[in-house]
Amino acid sequence: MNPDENSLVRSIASRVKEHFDSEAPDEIVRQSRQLVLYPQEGLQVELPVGALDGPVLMHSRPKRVHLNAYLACALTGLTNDQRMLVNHLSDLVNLVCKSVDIDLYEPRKNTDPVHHADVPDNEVYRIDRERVVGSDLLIHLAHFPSTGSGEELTFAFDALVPVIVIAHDSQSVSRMITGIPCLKLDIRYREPEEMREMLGIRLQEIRPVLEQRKLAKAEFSVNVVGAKIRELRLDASLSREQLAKSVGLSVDAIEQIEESIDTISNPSLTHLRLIATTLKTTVAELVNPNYTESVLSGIQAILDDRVDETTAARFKGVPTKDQQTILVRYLARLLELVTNPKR
Amino acid sequence: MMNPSPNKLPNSARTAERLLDRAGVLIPPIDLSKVVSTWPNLTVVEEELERSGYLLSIGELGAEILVNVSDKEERKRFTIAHELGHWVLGLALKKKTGHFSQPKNAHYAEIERWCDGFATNLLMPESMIRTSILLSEDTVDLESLTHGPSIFKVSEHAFFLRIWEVLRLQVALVSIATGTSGVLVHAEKSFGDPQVQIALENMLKRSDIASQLLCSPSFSFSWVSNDGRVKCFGRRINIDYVLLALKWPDKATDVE
Repeated sequence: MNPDENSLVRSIASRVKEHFDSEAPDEIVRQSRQLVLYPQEGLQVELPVGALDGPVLMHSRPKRVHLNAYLACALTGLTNDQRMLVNHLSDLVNLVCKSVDIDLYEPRKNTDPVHHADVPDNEVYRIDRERVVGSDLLIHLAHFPSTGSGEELTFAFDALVPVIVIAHDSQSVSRMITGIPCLKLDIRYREPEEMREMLGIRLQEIRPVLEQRKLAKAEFSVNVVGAKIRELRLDASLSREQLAKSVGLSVDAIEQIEESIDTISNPSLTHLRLIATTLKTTVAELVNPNYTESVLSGIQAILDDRVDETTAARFKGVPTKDQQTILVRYLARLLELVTNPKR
Repeated sequence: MMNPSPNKLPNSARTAERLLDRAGVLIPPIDLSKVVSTWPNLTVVEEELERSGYLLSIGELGAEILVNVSDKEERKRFTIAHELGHWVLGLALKKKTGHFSQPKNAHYAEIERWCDGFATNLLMPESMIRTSILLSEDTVDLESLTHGPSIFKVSEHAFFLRIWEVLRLQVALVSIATGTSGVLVHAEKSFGDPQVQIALENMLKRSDIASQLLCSPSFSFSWVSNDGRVKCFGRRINIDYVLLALKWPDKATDVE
């Protein structure tokens, strides 16, 4: 082999290794055997003599993206019969989701008003909201009126989470649900078994879209907005309480915006406008902060002997010589960021 | 090492074990560069510093572990392992909140202790310690004990404390001198809990023990302490010193 061929072989070998590393060896062997021993109908491949003697290792399909769904349904104020029906349907939905590798989160198992009455109201709100906006799909059982489900559907809409609405064929569903302008699928059934079958088909159909959405969304799983708000709030010497009061939100809500990744906190445009006004900046600056400007203002602050309280606290007690070394390292790396922002 | 706050911080031993698994490090000395390189955005930089080291988080660029270039190799390795602990804790929090920082529900000192424990478990995993020291009911291979620090590339102090922690094996360097008032035996260095150090000093005051240490090039004997029977193995290193390894009974099961 000439050097070019050698390098090509090495490159292919490394890609194959990387490819196999993404799936468990047992799974690769199982799928390979299945493919060789029970090839799909219509698959006509001429195998060379002896091709089946050894193990054939290959991926029959790409690895699936892990998906989560949220089950929204009425839980408060139900009669025993209604509760039994909801539980039965929830179990069915769970089974169908499992069959297509989707993890279903069911609030009845964590924040049920009857079984988990001790969970504080604000915790229920926080948990369920985070679960909805962190999900890849919301499945709504629209059998009984529920204000909680209405809230959950709003969270889903705000976070662009697709929705599947399930209802019995004879039932009328509120237009506030059917009218939600987001990716939405309706399932109307006569028998639970029919619902199970229809949901299975729908989930199989929608899975590629959900996977694509999840991969596209991954780049927003960072805290840009919250970090900027925190930075500007500290610059303005405002406490969270003061900012919360000025904007008309609770302190918890401000804390969540500052500490959570953007897809979870997902503050509304109205909230961002109010926050930006209080912090004497613009929504654009909060959403897409200018890193170069931050670096410049940071350096300016150091030159002016004006370091904000968090930075100061971090280096308290560190010997001056070490502080200077740290500063040099920081500047060197920030220089990389400024000259090559895509890194 | 015991986890200082099991409810607030993860188990340091398990965290270190998972990291070594991920990096594919199976034998001592632990290849720290291999562990660090499992994160492409984490680098180790040697600098002139007054203190041993720092973890410098640089946002989306990852982090740098700054290490004092003037420190001894063993100290540098401990610093890197300790700062890796901060890095792991920070990453766990980032996964949860999107923001790299240290746990706010644990006290600063607790986090530092956790990182020390993590570093100990990373550099000297329990399983590797157990296989590196040849220890049975009747004997301890003193050679494997003395070579341990260089095999694991850690300080003697750190290694023998770890030996105590994992095996309840107390290592001591005992000086022997003969004077007008008889044989003077004294533990110059000893690694273990304070109570076993006191017990060792008391044991060394016994004349029969002192004479055995003085006369034999290598020896083993046992004595009964408050914790049960202690098996003692020793060897003369030179005319002035004896190396002792004392196997204390395991707390719950071995007490006579």
